[in-house]
Amino acid sequence: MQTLHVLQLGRISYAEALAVQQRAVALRREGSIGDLLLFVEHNPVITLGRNAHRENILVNEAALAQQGIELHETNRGGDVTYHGPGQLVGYPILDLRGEFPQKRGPYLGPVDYVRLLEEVLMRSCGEFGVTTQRIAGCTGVWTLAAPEKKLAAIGVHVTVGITSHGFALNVLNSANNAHGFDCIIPCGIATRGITSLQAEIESKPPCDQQPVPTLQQVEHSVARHFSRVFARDLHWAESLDEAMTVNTVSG
Amino acid sequence: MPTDVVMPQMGESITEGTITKWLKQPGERVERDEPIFEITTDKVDAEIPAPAAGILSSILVEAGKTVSINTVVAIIGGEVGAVAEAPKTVAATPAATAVVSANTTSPAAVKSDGPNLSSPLVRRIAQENNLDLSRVTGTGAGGRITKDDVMKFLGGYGAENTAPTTPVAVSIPGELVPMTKMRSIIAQRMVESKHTSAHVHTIFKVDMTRIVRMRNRHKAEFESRHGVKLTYMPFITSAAIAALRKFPIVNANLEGDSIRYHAHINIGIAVALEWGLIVPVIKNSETLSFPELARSVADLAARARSKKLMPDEVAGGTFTLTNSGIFGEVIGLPIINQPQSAILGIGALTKEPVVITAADGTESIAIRSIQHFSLGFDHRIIDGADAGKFMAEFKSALENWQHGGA
Repeated sequence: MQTLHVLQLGRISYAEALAVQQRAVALRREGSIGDLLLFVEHNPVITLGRNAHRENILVNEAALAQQGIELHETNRGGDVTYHGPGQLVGYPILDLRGEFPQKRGPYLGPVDYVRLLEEVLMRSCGEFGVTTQRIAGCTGVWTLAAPEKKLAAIGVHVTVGITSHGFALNVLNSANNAHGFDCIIPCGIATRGITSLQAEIESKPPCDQQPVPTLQQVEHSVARHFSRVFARDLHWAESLDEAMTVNTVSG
Repeated sequence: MPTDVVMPQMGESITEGTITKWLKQPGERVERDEPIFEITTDKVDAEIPAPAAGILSSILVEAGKTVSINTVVAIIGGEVGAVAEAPKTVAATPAATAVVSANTTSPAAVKSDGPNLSSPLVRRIAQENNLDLSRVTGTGAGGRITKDDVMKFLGGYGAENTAPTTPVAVSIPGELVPMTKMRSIIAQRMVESKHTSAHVHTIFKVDMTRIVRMRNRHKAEFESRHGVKLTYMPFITSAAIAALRKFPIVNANLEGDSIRYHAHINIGIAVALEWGLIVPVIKNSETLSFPELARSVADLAARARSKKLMPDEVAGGTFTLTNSGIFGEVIGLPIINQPQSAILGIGALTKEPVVITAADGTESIAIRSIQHFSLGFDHRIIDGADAGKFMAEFKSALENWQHGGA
């Protein structure tokens, strides 16, 4: 089985995370590192995907700056989204031409890859007692009861078979209480709201409630399900450089 | 050698993609694996790499257009601008012809004498149409009779060497229905195949009497034992596999300057659907027993009709069978399913009077079950002799059916 290096970068700015991603993509592309899963928690930031419509940002940049929210344009697919503390952001850097159980050709189709990311996140949410679903045409992970609310957002970029960007799972209430989502129409979908694992757990009758997980626990769960869904051996790496040495040894 | 750049498949259920941006322009050099265009779908933004290094000679699908997967969107390493400009060249030809004929009219006219100034071309048209030029009023300089004048006088008829008349779009009552995706793929593939392979067809008549008897004898038992109806298809498929084993060139395809002989025999079976046609493939068919073959044939056909085929079940065929006989057709001449090199057409099974020669040489007429089979083959790699030997083997396998079958 191929290795998946998991790297926990902690709370960093969007720009820093972007720089790490770019380096990781370059290393993955030249083959000097295996597949990677980067976990981060961002300082408040609103990002615009390739299909973003400015009108989905409801306040001006000055007002955002006042609230301490950065604004970034990115090359991921999708519309507008918000990242902030309490949200688990994952950036898988995979070579889609590698081995995958679901691969039906020379590479794993990018859209199929997105479906598998949903699968990973749905399994993790299930582990914490929150049952979720996909909604056709609305990529992401959604709660069951109508009106469905979004628990996780997905937007990816693929360059020459290498993936970047990824998913954002709202774990703690702070993720959506921080006004960030109020400033935008997330993903351009105005009709459905946003929720978090914590909010979903706490909305259940007390007897059914599991404890609200920490970000760290969710990270572990997502990594585990990721390794199962994509058939990868997990390796918890300290840094990109360390992951590279592991790759050289095993490869 | 030019390399086609195609629209990649973004996912199993995704049949088309939209090009959002070209990252390279025609005439630019691209390296293998260098991103050359971008596709955007719902939540994915993908940069697609060049399949080969070379000069991006032409872009066939502009940014903003949506095309089905595997559509050629650009060409690397061809003549720069060759393909993109081809239609222009074609369009330019009639125009050029028109200019030439107009020119021959005027300068020549200057030389001519007589009461009616005219060009040799005009005089020839007049002569050929038995026309007295004095009856024609010239509208050219100095009353010169131009070709247009003659043609108008003649009502536009009967003269050769004239500029082709533009066909007038006549509206015929009816309904204009856009092709379905499947229809347009079939249309494209069929024409491509005709342009690619040097199609030749050979037709064989096979005495199926033995198979018919065997099937009638065993069908009830076969169905109860194997849970699948015993049709003629597994017999025919099995005979084709036996012949393909013996003549691997028929189970091969042309790849550049080489011939690729396939290790396995993957039999595609064309299934007619109400909304088109699909060709599910029995992979590694040479490894299957007769009942397994019968089950695969029935299963793939059933799932094709209920739209339950997986994408990889319609890919990777090395030889195709197409049963056109179900409507009573004697035999058809099928088009090869690219990139394969041969296709077996199956005609209707009918009873015919046949001359039978007994062992002692006496001849008699008997009623036999006869079926016609045609082999469409690519003469680039398969010669008529190979095709003939292949079909003789196929015929012999059916007429002298040995392995029980039930």
